[in-house]
Amino acid sequence: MATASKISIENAGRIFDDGKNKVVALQGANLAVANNEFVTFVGASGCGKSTLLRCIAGLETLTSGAIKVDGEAINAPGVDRAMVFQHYSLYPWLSVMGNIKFTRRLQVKRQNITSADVEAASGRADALLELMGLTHAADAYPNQLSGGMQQRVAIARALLPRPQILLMDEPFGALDAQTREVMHDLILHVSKLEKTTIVFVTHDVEEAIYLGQRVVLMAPRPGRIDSIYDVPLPAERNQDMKLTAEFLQLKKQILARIRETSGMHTDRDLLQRFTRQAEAGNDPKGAVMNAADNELSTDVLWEEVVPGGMHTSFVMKRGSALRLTDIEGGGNVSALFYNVEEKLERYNMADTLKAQHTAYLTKGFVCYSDMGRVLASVIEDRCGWHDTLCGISNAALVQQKYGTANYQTHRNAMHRNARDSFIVELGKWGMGKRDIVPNVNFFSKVSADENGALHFHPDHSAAGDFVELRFEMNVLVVLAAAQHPLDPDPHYRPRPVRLSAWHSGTPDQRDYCRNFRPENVRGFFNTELLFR
Amino acid sequence: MSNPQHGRRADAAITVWRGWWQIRGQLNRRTYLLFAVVGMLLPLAAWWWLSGSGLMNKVFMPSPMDVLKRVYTWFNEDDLVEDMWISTYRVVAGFTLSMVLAVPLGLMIGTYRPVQALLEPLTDFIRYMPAVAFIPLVMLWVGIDEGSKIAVIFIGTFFQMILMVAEDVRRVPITQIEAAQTMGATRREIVSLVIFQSAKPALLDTLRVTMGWAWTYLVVAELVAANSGLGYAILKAQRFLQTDKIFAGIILIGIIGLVIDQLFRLVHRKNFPWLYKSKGV
Repeated sequence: MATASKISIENAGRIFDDGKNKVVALQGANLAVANNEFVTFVGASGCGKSTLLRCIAGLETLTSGAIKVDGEAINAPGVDRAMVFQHYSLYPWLSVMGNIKFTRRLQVKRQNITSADVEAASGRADALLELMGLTHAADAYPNQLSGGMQQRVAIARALLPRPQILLMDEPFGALDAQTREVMHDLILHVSKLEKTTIVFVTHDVEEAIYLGQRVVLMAPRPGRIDSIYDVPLPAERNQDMKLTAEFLQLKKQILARIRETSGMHTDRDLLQRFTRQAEAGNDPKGAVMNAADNELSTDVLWEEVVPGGMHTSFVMKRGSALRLTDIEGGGNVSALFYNVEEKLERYNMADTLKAQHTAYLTKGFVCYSDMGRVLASVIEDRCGWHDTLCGISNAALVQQKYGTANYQTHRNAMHRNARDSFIVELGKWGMGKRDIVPNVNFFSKVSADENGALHFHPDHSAAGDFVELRFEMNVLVVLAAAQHPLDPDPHYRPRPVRLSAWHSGTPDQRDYCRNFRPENVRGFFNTELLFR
Repeated sequence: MSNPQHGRRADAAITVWRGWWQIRGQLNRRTYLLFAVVGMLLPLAAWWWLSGSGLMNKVFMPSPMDVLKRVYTWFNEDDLVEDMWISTYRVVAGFTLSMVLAVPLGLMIGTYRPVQALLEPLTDFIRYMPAVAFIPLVMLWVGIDEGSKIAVIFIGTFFQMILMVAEDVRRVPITQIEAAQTMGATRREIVSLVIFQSAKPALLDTLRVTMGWAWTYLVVAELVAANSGLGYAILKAQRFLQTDKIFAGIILIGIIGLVIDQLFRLVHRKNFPWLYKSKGV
């Protein structure tokens, strides 16, 4: 880059050491922020994003590395860097105007002052008041104002001395969603008008993408900069952009990364360890205890374990939900969905994929029927990819891969395949071979390379991973816990799956899946027409 | 048979009743005043009834009229005004001395860690020493004139006040201070323009509470070679078993305390208007 950066963070580190405990709050952070850039910091709690911001402000000092503004290292607060805090930073004994003009009362501003300066400052205070829409509240005290108005005062106060850098520490975290959207557009306007370089810390990924030209993702233990994302949106933002594919894609990507870095994987490791121990009979209590972490918080209607290779079918009513848990890991559950009232309406793979611009299912995606209605929504997912492309195993394939083991010789240990399992289950509901359509393979991941060859990912699903489906219609669910047709495992080892059902209720207007894709809004509308 | 009019009135009564007993509920000004007056008059009526019933000996429990009569003769024959004046003077002087020293010291303790480490443990230690036990020492060091009475009240209030002031100062939200730092304020400016301003309402409340304690030390202070004052009058009356005068002295101290307390509240309301504004512009 030709122009020098406004803020440069060079190998910045901060260790809290009270003599007893040592906490690495920030480690080896490197970042250059350009002049008039809007950078947002997101990350799980404890990732050091606030610490880094406070170091830039000079409120905390680094224990290693340096932060430079215009090439000069900083170590104390300064008027060139204004800060807006989450709350409680206004002075309740001063009026709104008194707060905004607070800097005027300080020594730094009183030296060599001319009457023209005073006039200019008063004019600026009035202008800021107007910009923030606070003219009518100039004489009010802060505690008479709503949270959103208080933050506007805080922003105006910070802007009065024309700082070159504005640091914002979760400034809208305590505001309601509507007020927050208004504040977003306001702060974007300010950034354009005042040409201030803004560094903005938030825990809200949507906020970070909407505001930032770049999103810096930080990760905990030790606090560090994990990755930096360029926001592929035009400089001029508007609220509609939040529903564009680019926006949602980036949001999904960042959320997934935050989940990965937030220590979720540690929980999974723990669960696996306890499960292994429990199987070995070492510590059955451990498994029970740890399983509670992933326990459903609501009342379970019914629960059942489908042994590996077995099949089942049942009806899920609209407003109920089903969790499939891969008990041992490495499992696969082939599934079909039918509208139980009119079974000709059924899960349609092609429509599901093309409507949602995807080749797999995970949280947020829904299963469409051939009538454009939503049969079921994926409301939670711990494994991130469920195959929709590869279909099911049949008798010939199973025999070829695992050898012959039929009922006559092996009784209940016989080898089963998904196709025959489906035929048996469908028969119970008056359906047959012709009703088998492309299905979902839960817990399996198959990706394509550039030549179009499909690759199966072994051990994609870990022990305890689950996926949750909420049913938006009265749905006949047909399941077969058979191995995936592309599973390269030479042994016949289908894994058991636990089913847990509960009343989830129907989704509201702000539901995650409903708003996950613009197309889904339409799909839900179509579905709800049936139940009006 | 049911009378709808009557039923509605009963419902209204229940609503009012429920309203009164809501947790952290509200009362309008008139109802509040009514409760306050009842709270004051009820004990008075009980006292009146008890003293008039003949159950209690007059020596143990004089009637309100006896007390009033005593106040009247005290005023006419024994210079009540002088007693009240000198007692008020001693209390206010001792209290003011405490305040002048404790507020700046407390401000420093609450602001700077080294000052806190230097002074707070010592203060905590002295605070537990009984002020009354200092009387002989005070007589030795200060003598037996006005200074000694003021000194006892000072000892009784100063060490408590300094800790409470420090606590008030520590309760100033850190973000208010950090905001000033990011606006380029110097340390001096932060202490005078932010910390002190922010703690002021709490400080005034602390002063109001310690003023009450100053009055409770009055009787003890006037043990020291006094020949005037309300506390002294109470002690003298004790010798002659003039229970009506003891009652009168105690009640007068209570009334003066109440007046001063209300003055503090008035100052609070006048000086900190933002605390009394309701939401909405």
